[in-house]
Amino acid sequence: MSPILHLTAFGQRIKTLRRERKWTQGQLAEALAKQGVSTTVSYLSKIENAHVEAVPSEDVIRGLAAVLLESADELLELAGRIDPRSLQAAISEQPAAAGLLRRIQNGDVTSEQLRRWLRETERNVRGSDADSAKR
Amino acid sequence: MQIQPNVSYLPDAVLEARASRLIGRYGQAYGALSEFPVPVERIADLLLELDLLWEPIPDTPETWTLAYLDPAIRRIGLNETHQAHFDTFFGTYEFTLAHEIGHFELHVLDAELAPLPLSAQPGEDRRGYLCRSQGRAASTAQPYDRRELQANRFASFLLLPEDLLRPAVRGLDLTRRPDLDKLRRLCRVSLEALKIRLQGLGWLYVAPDGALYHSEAEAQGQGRLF
Repeated sequence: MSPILHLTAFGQRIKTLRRERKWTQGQLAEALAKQGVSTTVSYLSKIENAHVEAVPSEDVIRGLAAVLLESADELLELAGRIDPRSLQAAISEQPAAAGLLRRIQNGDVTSEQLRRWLRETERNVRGSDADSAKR
Repeated sequence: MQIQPNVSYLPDAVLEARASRLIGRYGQAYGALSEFPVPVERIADLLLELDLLWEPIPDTPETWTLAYLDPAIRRIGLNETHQAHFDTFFGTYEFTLAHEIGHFELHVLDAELAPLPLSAQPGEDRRGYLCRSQGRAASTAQPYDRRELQANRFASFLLLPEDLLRPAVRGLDLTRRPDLDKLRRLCRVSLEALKIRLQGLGWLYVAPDGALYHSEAEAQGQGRLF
């Protein structure tokens, strides 16, 4: 998903959850303040309408998850923000991932190589999904 | 002031009934209103599901803009460049929202929407109601859009419904500034909006020099004393 699609889906989800709780944007800002997360109504209105230039910080997303009673992982994923904790957990489970990241860090892998590898992986995943569906 | 001729005339009784019906719809969904203030933000955001967005809206040298309504995407844009104006002038935020709700309730089927001076995707034509500062717009020689007047009247009826006002004014002397201040704070409206509404109800008379009387007859009686 492109960054703008992530932001649109995330903003829409926040708006829906807030309205389900019958809160105004001001009430949401107050609830966040009680969690120690400082935002403004103006910023929240931009998040909801995908008018932010960057993905909200992890603290803001976790605060939103806490007050809107939603899974933080789900909101982080929707916003397209990588959660360092989940990333670390994934690397611990997949030692090869650490090797790959090191090679990226050292500049051994180009962006084009990475994109090609991601495309191929996606094709393989789709192929195995289709095979399972046939069975 | 010239009135734009090609917009239907809506009498006050119709505007008041429309505002009252909207309050009734809110009451059905969220509980009947029994006291001020009328929650216009909740009406716009939760009942009508109009998205509220604070963003910079370009002004022109002649006029500045507080808000716009884009009915196609159900959005009320509020000019964050003038946030200080909203914060300083009590009741401006509520009146602005009520005014945009008025456009949404009364005028969305109108085909003659103005282009909005906001960034759009290539090929996208954003149109809506751009609500400029009333003072400057009214002072120009351009014909004044009747829809703006209707949205203002609707806002007054929505923010200050008679059935809530009647008990709220009990025990107050509406010709006394402290009593008016108390009432406007309760209703979250400007003093000007309150005086206009009270005068419309025949509960207050504002003389051309700004002096306040209980009625026009009282003002004339006072005049004859001198």
